[in-house]
Amino acid sequence: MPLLQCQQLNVRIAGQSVCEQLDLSIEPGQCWALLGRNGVGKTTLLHSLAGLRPIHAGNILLQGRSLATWPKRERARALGVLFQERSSAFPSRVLETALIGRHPHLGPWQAESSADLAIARRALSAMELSDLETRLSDTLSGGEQQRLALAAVLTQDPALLLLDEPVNHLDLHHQIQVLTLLQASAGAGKAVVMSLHDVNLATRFCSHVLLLHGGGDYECGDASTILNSATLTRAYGHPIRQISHDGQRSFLPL
Amino acid sequence: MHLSDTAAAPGRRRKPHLLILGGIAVASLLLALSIGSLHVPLPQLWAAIHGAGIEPYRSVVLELRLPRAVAAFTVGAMLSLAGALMQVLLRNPLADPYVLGISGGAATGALTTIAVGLSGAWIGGAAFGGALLSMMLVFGVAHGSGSWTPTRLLLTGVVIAAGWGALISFILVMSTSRDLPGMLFWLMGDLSGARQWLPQLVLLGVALGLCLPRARDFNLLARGELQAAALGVPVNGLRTMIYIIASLLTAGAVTVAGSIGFVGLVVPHMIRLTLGTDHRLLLPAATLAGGSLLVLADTLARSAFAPTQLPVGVLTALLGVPLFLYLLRRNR
Repeated sequence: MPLLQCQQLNVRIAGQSVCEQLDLSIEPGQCWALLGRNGVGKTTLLHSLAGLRPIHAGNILLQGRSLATWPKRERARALGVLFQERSSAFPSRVLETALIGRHPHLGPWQAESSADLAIARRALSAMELSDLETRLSDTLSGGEQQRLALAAVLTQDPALLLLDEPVNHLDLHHQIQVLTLLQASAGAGKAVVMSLHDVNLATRFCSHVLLLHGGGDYECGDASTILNSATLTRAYGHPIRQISHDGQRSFLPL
Repeated sequence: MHLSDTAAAPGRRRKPHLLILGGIAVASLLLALSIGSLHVPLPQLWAAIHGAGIEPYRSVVLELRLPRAVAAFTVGAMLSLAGALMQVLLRNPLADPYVLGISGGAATGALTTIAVGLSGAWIGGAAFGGALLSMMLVFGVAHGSGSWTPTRLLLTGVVIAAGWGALISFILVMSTSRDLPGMLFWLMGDLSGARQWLPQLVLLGVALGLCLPRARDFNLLARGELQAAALGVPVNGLRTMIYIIASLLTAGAVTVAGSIGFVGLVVPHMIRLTLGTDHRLLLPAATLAGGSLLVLADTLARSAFAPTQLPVGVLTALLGVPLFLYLLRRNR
Protein backbone atom coordinates (compact mmCIF):
# COMPACT_ATOMS: atom_id res chain seq x y z
CA MET A 1 0.00 0.00 0.00
CA PRO A 2 1.34 3.47 -0.82
CA LEU A 3 2.24 5.63 2.17
CA LEU A 4 0.84 8.71 0.49
CA GLN A 5 -1.42 9.12 -2.53
CA CYS A 6 -2.63 12.24 -4.30
CA GLN A 7 -5.69 11.89 -6.50
CA GLN A 8 -6.52 14.73 -8.88
CA LEU A 9 -5.08 17.14 -6.34
CA ASN A 10 -5.41 20.88 -6.92
CA VAL A 11 -3.46 23.19 -4.65
CA ARG A 12 -3.62 26.97 -4.97
CA ILE A 13 -2.17 29.81 -3.00
CA ALA A 14 -3.06 33.49 -3.36
CA GLY A 15 -4.84 32.82 -6.66
CA GLN A 16 -1.83 31.00 -8.12
CA SER A 17 -2.00 27.37 -9.04
CA VAL A 18 0.70 25.13 -7.52
CA CYS A 19 -0.49 21.88 -9.07
CA GLU A 20 -3.56 20.88 -11.10
CA GLN A 21 -4.87 17.32 -11.10
CA LEU A 22 -1.78 15.91 -9.47
CA ASP A 23 -1.76 12.12 -9.34
CA LEU A 24 1.05 10.80 -7.23
CA SER A 25 1.77 7.62 -5.32
CA ILE A 26 4.59 7.47 -2.80
CA GLU A 27 5.63 3.97 -1.75
CA PRO A 28 7.81 2.83 1.14
CA GLY A 29 11.46 2.79 0.08
CA GLN A 30 11.13 5.78 -2.23
CA CYS A 31 13.05 9.01 -1.90
CA TRP A 32 11.38 11.92 -3.72
CA ALA A 33 12.89 15.24 -4.69
CA LEU A 34 10.52 18.17 -5.04
CA LEU A 35 12.08 20.59 -7.51
CA GLY A 36 11.11 23.90 -9.06
CA ARG A 37 11.79 27.62 -9.22
CA ASN A 38 11.53 29.98 -6.25
CA GLY A 39 7.89 30.71 -5.51
CA VAL A 40 6.55 27.83 -7.57
CA GLY A 41 4.85 26.40 -4.47
CA LYS A 42 7.13 23.68 -3.10
CA THR A 43 6.55 24.66 0.52
CA THR A 44 2.83 25.14 -0.06
CA LEU A 45 2.55 21.68 -1.61
CA LEU A 46 4.53 20.05 1.23
CA HIS A 47 2.27 21.73 3.81
CA SER A 48 -0.80 20.55 1.89
CA LEU A 49 0.56 16.99 1.78
CA ALA A 50 1.08 17.24 5.55
CA GLY A 51 -2.54 18.31 6.06
CA LEU A 52 -1.50 21.69 7.43
CA ARG A 53 -3.36 23.78 4.85
CA PRO A 54 -6.61 23.25 2.97
CA ILE A 55 -6.53 21.76 -0.53
CA HIS A 56 -8.59 23.13 -3.41
CA ALA A 57 -9.80 19.87 -4.92
CA GLY A 58 -8.97 16.18 -5.03
CA ASN A 59 -7.89 13.73 -2.36
CA ILE A 60 -4.84 13.02 -0.27
CA LEU A 61 -4.67 9.53 1.24
CA LEU A 62 -2.22 8.67 4.01
CA GLN A 63 -1.76 4.90 4.20
CA GLY A 64 -4.96 4.47 2.20
CA ARG A 65 -7.08 6.65 4.50
CA SER A 66 -8.17 10.20 3.77
CA LEU A 67 -5.68 12.58 5.40
CA ALA A 68 -8.41 14.82 6.83
CA THR A 69 -10.00 11.97 8.77
CA TRP A 70 -6.82 11.07 10.69
CA PRO A 71 -6.83 12.06 14.37
CA LYS A 72 -4.08 14.69 14.74
CA ARG A 73 -1.84 12.80 17.13
CA GLU A 74 -2.10 9.58 15.19
CA ARG A 75 -1.29 11.46 11.99
CA ALA A 76 1.80 12.92 13.65
CA ARG A 77 3.04 9.41 14.37
CA ALA A 78 2.71 8.49 10.67
CA LEU A 79 3.91 11.71 9.07
CA GLY A 80 6.64 14.14 10.09
CA VAL A 81 7.42 17.60 8.71
CA LEU A 82 10.63 19.61 8.64
CA PHE A 83 9.87 23.31 8.29
CA GLN A 84 12.01 25.77 6.44
CA GLU A 85 11.44 28.46 9.02
CA ARG A 86 11.54 28.02 12.76
CA SER A 87 11.08 30.53 15.51
CA SER A 88 10.72 29.67 19.14
CA ALA A 89 9.30 32.31 21.45
CA PHE A 90 11.55 31.13 24.27
CA PRO A 91 14.96 29.45 24.04
CA SER A 92 15.22 25.81 25.07
CA ARG A 93 17.94 23.19 25.38
CA VAL A 94 19.07 21.02 22.46
CA LEU A 95 17.91 17.75 24.04
CA GLU A 96 14.51 19.26 24.93
CA THR A 97 14.14 20.41 21.33
CA ALA A 98 14.90 16.96 19.92
CA LEU A 99 12.43 15.44 22.40
CA ILE A 100 9.49 17.38 20.93
CA GLY A 101 9.47 14.60 18.34
CA ARG A 102 8.18 12.20 21.02
CA HIS A 103 5.12 14.38 21.69
CA PRO A 104 2.66 12.42 19.50
CA HIS A 105 3.86 9.19 21.10
CA LEU A 106 3.04 10.31 24.66
CA GLY A 107 -0.25 10.66 26.54
CA PRO A 108 -1.27 13.87 28.33
CA TRP A 109 0.23 13.03 31.75
CA GLN A 110 3.00 10.82 30.40
CA ALA A 111 6.57 12.04 30.78
CA GLU A 112 9.36 11.07 28.41
CA SER A 113 10.70 7.65 29.38
CA SER A 114 14.33 6.58 29.23
CA ALA A 115 13.43 4.86 25.95
CA ASP A 116 12.26 8.21 24.55
CA LEU A 117 15.47 9.83 25.76
CA ALA A 118 17.48 7.10 24.07
CA ILE A 119 15.65 7.69 20.77
CA ALA A 120 16.32 11.44 20.97
CA ARG A 121 19.98 10.88 21.85
CA ARG A 122 20.35 8.47 18.90
CA ALA A 123 18.94 11.13 16.58
CA LEU A 124 21.23 13.81 18.01
CA SER A 125 24.16 11.48 17.60
CA ALA A 126 23.18 10.77 13.97
CA MET A 127 23.15 14.53 13.40
CA GLU A 128 26.53 14.89 15.18
CA LEU A 129 25.01 17.05 17.93
CA SER A 130 25.67 14.82 20.96
CA ASP A 131 28.18 17.23 22.46
CA LEU A 132 25.68 20.10 22.37
CA GLU A 133 22.87 18.39 24.33
CA THR A 134 22.68 21.00 27.10
CA ARG A 135 23.27 24.08 24.94
CA LEU A 136 20.48 26.60 24.43
CA SER A 137 19.23 26.19 20.88
CA ASP A 138 19.49 29.91 20.13
CA THR A 139 23.25 29.73 20.67
CA LEU A 140 23.67 27.23 17.80
CA SER A 141 24.83 28.15 14.31
CA GLY A 142 22.38 28.06 11.39
CA GLY A 143 23.64 24.68 10.23
CA GLU A 144 23.51 23.24 13.74
CA GLN A 145 19.94 24.49 14.17
CA GLN A 146 19.01 22.85 10.88
CA ARG A 147 20.50 19.54 12.03
CA LEU A 148 18.69 19.92 15.36
CA ALA A 149 15.37 20.33 13.54
CA LEU A 150 16.21 17.21 11.51
CA ALA A 151 17.05 15.37 14.74
CA ALA A 152 13.60 16.29 16.10
CA VAL A 153 11.91 14.80 12.99
CA LEU A 154 14.07 11.68 13.28
CA THR A 155 13.04 11.43 16.97
CA GLN A 156 9.42 11.64 15.83
CA ASP A 157 10.17 8.52 13.75
CA PRO A 158 7.29 8.69 11.25
CA ALA A 159 6.95 6.40 8.22
CA LEU A 160 6.68 9.39 5.89
CA LEU A 161 9.08 12.34 6.09
CA LEU A 162 8.10 15.61 4.38
CA LEU A 163 11.18 17.81 4.47
CA ASP A 164 11.33 21.41 3.29
CA GLU A 165 14.91 22.06 2.15
CA PRO A 166 16.62 19.66 4.56
CA VAL A 167 20.13 20.68 3.44
CA ASN A 168 19.55 24.41 3.95
CA HIS A 169 22.53 26.02 5.77
CA LEU A 170 24.46 22.72 5.81
CA ASP A 171 28.13 22.51 4.83
CA LEU A 172 29.16 20.04 2.13
CA HIS A 173 30.03 17.26 4.56
CA HIS A 174 26.71 17.53 6.39
CA GLN A 175 24.73 17.80 3.14
CA ILE A 176 26.08 14.44 2.02
CA GLN A 177 25.82 12.95 5.50
CA VAL A 178 22.17 13.99 5.95
CA LEU A 179 21.10 12.86 2.48
CA THR A 180 22.92 9.54 2.88
CA LEU A 181 21.05 8.99 6.14
CA LEU A 182 17.69 9.93 4.56
CA GLN A 183 18.37 7.63 1.61
CA ALA A 184 19.19 4.84 4.04
CA SER A 185 16.01 5.40 6.06
CA ALA A 186 14.02 5.16 2.81
CA GLY A 187 15.93 1.96 2.13
CA ALA A 188 14.73 0.71 5.52
CA GLY A 189 11.07 1.06 4.53
CA LYS A 190 10.25 4.73 5.13
CA ALA A 191 9.49 7.27 2.42
CA VAL A 192 11.05 10.70 2.06
CA VAL A 193 9.74 13.71 0.14
CA MET A 194 12.06 16.70 0.19
CA SER A 195 12.31 19.99 -1.59
CA LEU A 196 15.82 20.66 -2.84
CA HIS A 197 17.54 23.40 -4.77
CA ASP A 198 20.57 21.37 -5.80
CA VAL A 199 19.63 19.29 -8.84
CA ASN A 200 22.84 17.27 -8.55
CA LEU A 201 22.06 16.20 -4.98
CA ALA A 202 18.60 15.16 -6.22
CA THR A 203 20.21 13.18 -9.05
CA ARG A 204 22.55 11.43 -6.65
CA PHE A 205 20.22 10.65 -3.74
CA CYS A 206 16.62 10.54 -4.99
CA SER A 207 14.83 7.68 -6.70
CA HIS A 208 11.89 9.85 -7.82
CA VAL A 209 11.26 13.45 -8.76
CA LEU A 210 8.26 15.77 -8.72
CA LEU A 211 9.09 18.77 -10.87
CA LEU A 212 6.82 21.81 -10.56
CA HIS A 213 6.76 24.05 -13.65
CA GLY A 214 4.44 26.73 -12.29
CA GLY A 215 0.86 27.49 -13.26
CA GLY A 216 -0.19 24.06 -12.04
CA ASP A 217 1.94 22.18 -14.56
CA TYR A 218 4.10 19.34 -13.26
CA GLU A 219 6.07 16.24 -14.22
CA CYS A 220 6.71 13.30 -11.94
CA GLY A 221 8.23 9.84 -12.01
CA ASP A 222 11.59 8.07 -11.92
CA ALA A 223 14.50 10.41 -11.35
CA SER A 224 16.36 8.89 -14.30
CA THR A 225 13.62 9.83 -16.78
CA ILE A 226 12.42 13.15 -15.35
CA LEU A 227 15.84 14.67 -14.82
CA ASN A 228 17.28 15.77 -18.15
CA SER A 229 18.54 18.98 -19.62
CA ALA A 230 15.26 19.70 -21.46
CA THR A 231 12.90 19.34 -18.44
CA LEU A 232 15.27 21.17 -16.11
CA THR A 233 15.86 24.00 -18.60
CA ARG A 234 12.09 24.44 -18.80
CA ALA A 235 11.54 24.17 -15.04
CA TYR A 236 14.15 26.71 -14.07
CA GLY A 237 13.80 28.98 -17.12
CA HIS A 238 17.55 28.80 -17.52
CA PRO A 239 19.68 26.78 -19.98
CA ILE A 240 21.04 23.67 -18.24
CA ARG A 241 23.48 21.20 -19.77
CA GLN A 242 23.89 17.56 -18.76
CA ILE A 243 27.40 16.20 -18.42
CA SER A 244 28.47 12.65 -17.57
CA HIS A 245 31.54 11.63 -15.65
CA ASP A 246 32.33 8.02 -14.63
CA GLY A 247 28.72 7.09 -15.30
CA GLN A 248 27.41 9.78 -12.92
CA ARG A 249 25.18 12.45 -14.47
CA SER A 250 25.56 16.07 -13.46
CA PHE A 251 23.74 19.22 -14.52
CA LEU A 252 25.46 22.48 -15.15
CA PRO A 253 23.68 25.83 -15.45
CA LEU A 254 25.12 27.78 -18.37
CA MET B 1 24.30 24.30 37.52
CA HIS B 2 20.83 22.92 37.90
CA LEU B 3 19.80 24.30 34.49
CA SER B 4 21.69 21.58 32.69
CA ASP B 5 20.15 18.91 34.92
CA THR B 6 16.64 19.89 33.87
CA ALA B 7 17.70 19.67 30.26
CA ALA B 8 19.53 16.39 30.67
CA ALA B 9 16.57 14.61 32.23
CA PRO B 10 13.33 16.43 31.49
CA GLY B 11 10.62 15.36 33.85
CA ARG B 12 12.95 13.94 36.45
CA ARG B 13 13.59 17.16 38.30
CA ARG B 14 10.13 18.62 38.64
CA LYS B 15 9.06 17.41 42.07
CA PRO B 16 11.96 18.81 44.17
CA HIS B 17 11.54 22.24 42.59
CA LEU B 18 7.80 22.26 43.22
CA LEU B 19 8.28 21.08 46.79
CA ILE B 20 10.71 23.93 47.45
CA LEU B 21 8.32 26.46 45.93
CA GLY B 22 5.46 24.97 47.94
CA GLY B 23 7.57 25.38 51.07
CA ILE B 24 8.22 29.03 50.18
CA ALA B 25 4.48 29.52 49.64
CA VAL B 26 3.63 28.11 53.09
CA ALA B 27 6.41 30.15 54.73
CA SER B 28 5.19 33.36 53.07
CA LEU B 29 1.64 32.70 54.28
CA LEU B 30 2.84 32.08 57.86
CA LEU B 31 4.89 35.26 57.72
CA ALA B 32 1.85 37.21 56.54
CA LEU B 33 -0.21 35.85 59.46
CA SER B 34 2.45 36.70 62.00
CA ILE B 35 3.71 40.15 60.93
CA GLY B 36 1.81 43.40 61.37
CA SER B 37 0.89 46.05 63.90
CA LEU B 38 0.31 43.19 66.34
CA HIS B 39 3.14 40.68 66.21
CA VAL B 40 1.82 37.15 66.63
CA PRO B 41 4.48 34.80 68.02
CA LEU B 42 4.79 31.36 66.46
CA PRO B 43 3.18 29.36 69.32
CA GLN B 44 0.15 31.68 69.29
CA LEU B 45 -0.01 31.47 65.50
CA TRP B 46 0.04 27.69 65.68
CA ALA B 47 -2.68 27.67 68.33
CA ALA B 48 -4.85 30.12 66.37
CA ILE B 49 -4.66 28.05 63.21
CA HIS B 50 -5.77 25.03 65.20
CA GLY B 51 -8.69 27.01 66.63
CA ALA B 52 -7.32 27.07 70.16
CA GLY B 53 -5.75 30.52 70.28
CA ILE B 54 -6.36 33.28 72.81
CA GLU B 55 -7.62 36.76 71.99
CA PRO B 56 -6.62 39.07 70.43
CA TYR B 57 -4.31 36.73 68.49
CA ARG B 58 -7.09 34.41 67.38
CA SER B 59 -9.27 37.03 65.72
CA VAL B 60 -6.33 38.97 64.24
CA VAL B 61 -4.98 35.82 62.60
CA LEU B 62 -8.20 34.14 61.53
CA GLU B 63 -10.49 37.07 60.79
CA LEU B 64 -8.16 39.83 59.62
CA ARG B 65 -4.96 38.37 58.22
CA LEU B 66 -5.91 34.92 56.94
CA PRO B 67 -8.56 36.04 54.41
CA ARG B 68 -6.29 38.79 53.14
CA ALA B 69 -3.26 36.48 52.88
CA VAL B 70 -5.24 33.80 51.05
CA ALA B 71 -6.72 36.43 48.74
CA ALA B 72 -3.22 37.79 48.06
CA PHE B 73 -1.86 34.33 47.32
CA THR B 74 -4.78 33.49 45.02
CA VAL B 75 -4.56 36.78 43.12
CA GLY B 76 -0.78 36.50 42.70
CA ALA B 77 -1.09 32.91 41.53
CA MET B 78 -3.85 33.80 39.04
CA LEU B 79 -1.94 36.74 37.58
CA SER B 80 1.25 34.75 37.26
CA LEU B 81 -0.47 31.80 35.61
CA ALA B 82 -2.41 34.15 33.32
CA GLY B 83 0.84 35.88 32.36
CA ALA B 84 2.54 32.59 31.49
CA LEU B 85 -0.51 31.64 29.37
CA MET B 86 -0.64 35.01 27.57
CA GLN B 87 3.07 34.79 26.78
CA VAL B 88 2.67 31.41 25.12
CA LEU B 89 -0.59 32.40 23.38
CA LEU B 90 0.91 35.55 21.89
CA ARG B 91 4.38 33.98 21.57
CA ASN B 92 5.69 37.21 22.99
CA PRO B 93 7.84 37.56 26.09
CA LEU B 94 6.47 41.06 26.73
CA ALA B 95 2.88 39.85 27.05
CA ASP B 96 1.24 40.11 30.46
CA PRO B 97 -2.31 39.46 31.71
CA TYR B 98 -3.28 43.06 30.94
CA VAL B 99 -1.85 43.39 27.46
CA LEU B 100 -5.13 42.49 25.74
CA GLY B 101 -7.18 45.09 27.57
CA ILE B 102 -8.79 42.93 30.26
CA SER B 103 -7.64 45.18 33.09
CA GLY B 104 -8.63 48.28 31.10
CA GLY B 105 -12.17 46.99 30.76
CA ALA B 106 -12.23 46.07 34.44
CA ALA B 107 -10.85 49.45 35.49
CA THR B 108 -13.38 51.32 33.38
CA GLY B 109 -16.16 49.35 35.05
CA ALA B 110 -14.76 49.82 38.55
CA LEU B 111 -14.01 53.54 38.16
CA THR B 112 -17.45 54.20 36.69
CA THR B 113 -19.11 52.66 39.73
CA ILE B 114 -16.85 54.67 42.07
CA ALA B 115 -17.66 57.84 40.12
CA VAL B 116 -21.40 57.33 40.43
CA GLY B 117 -21.00 56.78 44.17
CA LEU B 118 -21.48 53.04 44.48
CA SER B 119 -19.16 50.92 46.58
CA GLY B 120 -18.47 47.45 47.92
CA ALA B 121 -19.63 44.53 45.79
CA TRP B 122 -20.74 46.90 43.02
CA ILE B 123 -17.13 47.78 42.23
CA GLY B 124 -16.04 44.14 41.98
CA GLY B 125 -19.09 43.21 39.92
CA ALA B 126 -18.58 46.09 37.51
CA ALA B 127 -14.87 45.25 37.21
CA PHE B 128 -15.67 41.64 36.36
CA GLY B 129 -18.32 42.75 33.86
CA GLY B 130 -15.91 45.19 32.21
CA ALA B 131 -13.24 42.50 31.98
CA LEU B 132 -15.65 40.05 30.34
CA LEU B 133 -16.87 42.72 27.92
CA SER B 134 -13.30 43.53 26.91
CA MET B 135 -12.46 39.85 26.54
CA MET B 136 -15.40 39.24 24.19
CA LEU B 137 -14.74 42.43 22.26
CA VAL B 138 -11.09 41.51 21.58
CA PHE B 139 -11.95 37.91 20.75
CA GLY B 140 -14.79 38.96 18.43
CA VAL B 141 -12.77 41.54 16.54
CA ALA B 142 -9.57 39.48 16.31
CA HIS B 143 -11.33 36.25 15.44
CA GLY B 144 -13.90 37.89 13.13
CA SER B 145 -12.47 36.80 9.79
CA GLY B 146 -11.59 33.33 11.06
CA SER B 147 -7.83 33.78 11.04
CA TRP B 148 -6.30 34.89 14.28
CA THR B 149 -2.57 35.04 14.25
CA PRO B 150 -0.82 36.03 17.48
CA THR B 151 0.06 39.38 15.89
CA ARG B 152 -3.54 40.15 14.97
CA LEU B 153 -4.75 39.22 18.44
CA LEU B 154 -2.01 41.30 20.05
CA LEU B 155 -2.73 44.36 17.90
CA THR B 156 -6.47 44.11 18.53
CA GLY B 157 -5.89 43.79 22.27
CA VAL B 158 -3.41 46.65 22.42
CA VAL B 159 -5.75 48.97 20.49
CA ILE B 160 -8.74 48.10 22.67
CA ALA B 161 -6.57 48.52 25.79
CA ALA B 162 -5.63 51.99 24.52
CA GLY B 163 -9.33 52.77 24.12
CA TRP B 164 -9.98 51.76 27.72
CA GLY B 165 -7.00 53.87 28.75
CA ALA B 166 -8.60 56.94 27.19
CA LEU B 167 -11.89 56.24 28.98
CA ILE B 168 -10.04 55.81 32.30
CA SER B 169 -8.26 59.15 31.84
CA PHE B 170 -11.61 60.76 31.04
CA ILE B 171 -13.20 59.36 34.21
CA LEU B 172 -10.20 60.46 36.34
CA VAL B 173 -10.29 64.00 34.99
CA MET B 174 -14.03 64.33 35.49
CA SER B 175 -14.15 62.84 38.98
CA THR B 176 -14.22 64.70 42.28
CA SER B 177 -11.23 64.90 44.60
CA ARG B 178 -13.20 62.79 47.08
CA ASP B 179 -13.25 59.80 44.68
CA LEU B 180 -9.72 60.13 43.31
CA PRO B 181 -7.72 58.31 46.04
CA GLY B 182 -9.99 55.27 45.82
CA MET B 183 -9.68 55.25 42.04
CA LEU B 184 -5.88 55.53 42.13
CA PHE B 185 -5.61 52.74 44.70
CA TRP B 186 -7.77 50.57 42.46
CA LEU B 187 -5.62 51.35 39.43
CA MET B 188 -2.37 50.60 41.25
CA GLY B 189 -3.71 47.39 42.74
CA ASP B 190 -4.70 47.11 46.36
CA LEU B 191 -5.55 44.20 48.60
CA SER B 192 -6.73 46.11 51.68
CA GLY B 193 -10.37 45.44 50.85
CA ALA B 194 -9.79 41.93 49.56
CA ARG B 195 -11.92 39.46 51.47
CA GLN B 196 -13.30 37.33 48.68
CA TRP B 197 -11.15 34.42 47.59
CA LEU B 198 -13.18 31.21 47.35
CA PRO B 199 -14.53 31.72 43.79
CA GLN B 200 -11.06 32.81 42.71
CA LEU B 201 -9.43 29.77 44.28
CA VAL B 202 -11.93 27.49 42.52
CA LEU B 203 -11.25 29.25 39.21
CA LEU B 204 -7.50 28.85 39.75
CA GLY B 205 -7.95 25.15 40.48
CA VAL B 206 -10.07 24.59 37.37
CA ALA B 207 -7.56 26.52 35.25
CA LEU B 208 -4.64 24.42 36.52
CA GLY B 209 -6.67 21.25 36.05
CA LEU B 210 -7.30 22.16 32.41
CA CYS B 211 -3.80 23.44 31.63
CA LEU B 212 -1.49 20.93 33.30
CA PRO B 213 -2.51 17.92 31.16
CA ARG B 214 -1.86 20.08 28.08
CA ALA B 215 1.41 21.58 29.29
CA ARG B 216 3.46 19.70 26.69
CA ASP B 217 1.15 21.06 23.99
CA PHE B 218 2.00 24.56 25.26
CA ASN B 219 5.71 23.81 24.82
CA LEU B 220 5.03 23.11 21.16
CA LEU B 221 2.73 26.10 20.68
CA ALA B 222 5.61 28.31 21.86
CA ARG B 223 7.60 26.92 18.92
CA GLY B 224 5.03 28.09 16.40
CA GLU B 225 1.58 27.08 15.23
CA LEU B 226 2.73 25.05 12.23
CA GLN B 227 5.32 23.11 14.20
CA ALA B 228 2.73 22.39 16.89
CA ALA B 229 0.12 21.31 14.34
CA ALA B 230 2.65 19.03 12.64
CA LEU B 231 3.24 17.27 15.96
CA GLY B 232 -0.47 16.64 16.54
CA VAL B 233 -1.49 19.65 18.67
CA PRO B 234 -5.07 20.85 18.03
CA VAL B 235 -3.82 24.42 17.63
CA ASN B 236 -7.06 26.39 17.19
CA GLY B 237 -8.90 24.73 20.03
CA LEU B 238 -5.91 25.03 22.32
CA ARG B 239 -5.45 28.74 21.59
CA THR B 240 -9.13 29.48 22.22
CA MET B 241 -8.90 27.58 25.49
CA ILE B 242 -5.78 29.47 26.58
CA TYR B 243 -7.38 32.81 25.70
CA ILE B 244 -10.53 32.09 27.70
CA ILE B 245 -8.69 30.69 30.73
CA ALA B 246 -6.11 33.49 30.85
CA SER B 247 -8.82 36.12 30.47
CA LEU B 248 -11.03 34.66 33.20
CA LEU B 249 -8.05 34.35 35.56
CA THR B 250 -7.18 37.99 34.95
CA ALA B 251 -10.79 39.09 35.34
CA GLY B 252 -11.04 37.19 38.63
CA ALA B 253 -7.82 38.71 39.92
CA VAL B 254 -8.59 42.35 39.06
CA THR B 255 -12.06 41.97 40.53
CA VAL B 256 -10.54 41.27 43.95
CA ALA B 257 -7.49 43.50 43.91
CA GLY B 258 -7.50 45.97 41.03
CA SER B 259 -4.76 45.88 38.44
CA ILE B 260 -1.66 44.81 40.33
CA GLY B 261 1.20 45.14 37.90
CA PHE B 262 4.44 43.26 37.44
CA VAL B 263 3.50 39.84 38.88
CA GLY B 264 1.99 38.51 35.65
CA LEU B 265 4.80 39.78 33.45
CA VAL B 266 7.85 38.96 35.50
CA VAL B 267 7.15 35.88 37.61
CA PRO B 268 6.88 33.57 34.54
CA HIS B 269 10.19 34.97 33.29
CA MET B 270 11.82 34.43 36.68
CA ILE B 271 10.78 30.79 36.51
CA ARG B 272 12.01 30.47 32.91
CA LEU B 273 15.39 31.91 33.89
CA THR B 274 15.81 29.59 36.85
CA LEU B 275 13.93 26.39 35.96
CA GLY B 276 13.69 26.42 32.17
CA THR B 277 10.88 26.80 29.65
CA ASP B 278 9.07 23.45 30.04
CA HIS B 279 5.45 24.39 30.81
CA ARG B 280 4.97 21.18 32.82
CA LEU B 281 7.20 22.80 35.43
CA LEU B 282 6.70 26.44 34.48
CA LEU B 283 2.92 26.58 34.99
CA PRO B 284 2.73 25.11 38.52
CA ALA B 285 5.99 26.83 39.54
CA ALA B 286 4.82 30.25 38.32
CA THR B 287 1.51 29.73 40.12
CA LEU B 288 3.25 29.03 43.44
CA ALA B 289 5.89 31.75 43.00
CA GLY B 290 3.35 34.40 41.93
CA GLY B 291 1.19 33.66 44.95
CA SER B 292 4.17 33.79 47.33
CA LEU B 293 5.50 37.04 45.85
CA LEU B 294 2.16 38.80 46.24
CA VAL B 295 1.70 37.57 49.82
CA LEU B 296 5.15 38.91 50.75
CA ALA B 297 4.56 42.17 48.89
CA ASP B 298 1.20 42.68 50.58
CA THR B 299 2.66 41.94 54.02
CA LEU B 300 5.29 44.59 53.41
CA ALA B 301 2.73 46.98 51.95
CA ARG B 302 0.64 46.96 55.11
CA SER B 303 3.47 46.81 57.68
CA ALA B 304 6.46 48.74 56.28
CA PHE B 305 4.99 52.22 56.75
CA ALA B 306 2.24 51.31 59.20
CA PRO B 307 -0.24 52.74 59.88
CA THR B 308 -0.05 54.02 56.26
CA GLN B 309 -0.89 51.22 53.84
CA LEU B 310 0.85 51.31 50.48
CA PRO B 311 -0.85 49.97 47.34
CA VAL B 312 0.59 46.48 46.90
CA GLY B 313 1.35 47.17 43.22
CA VAL B 314 4.13 49.53 44.33
CA LEU B 315 5.70 46.76 46.40
CA THR B 316 5.48 44.02 43.75
CA ALA B 317 7.58 46.19 41.48
CA LEU B 318 10.01 47.22 44.23
CA LEU B 319 10.56 43.57 45.19
CA GLY B 320 10.47 42.16 41.69
CA VAL B 321 12.62 44.57 39.69
CA PRO B 322 15.93 43.92 41.50
CA LEU B 323 15.24 40.17 41.73
CA PHE B 324 14.49 39.99 38.02
CA LEU B 325 17.54 42.05 37.04
CA TYR B 326 19.72 39.80 39.17
CA LEU B 327 18.38 36.66 37.48
CA LEU B 328 18.78 38.21 34.04
CA ARG B 329 22.37 39.10 34.79
CA ARG B 330 23.20 35.70 36.26
CA ASN B 331 21.96 33.93 33.14
CA ARG B 332 23.80 36.00 30.60
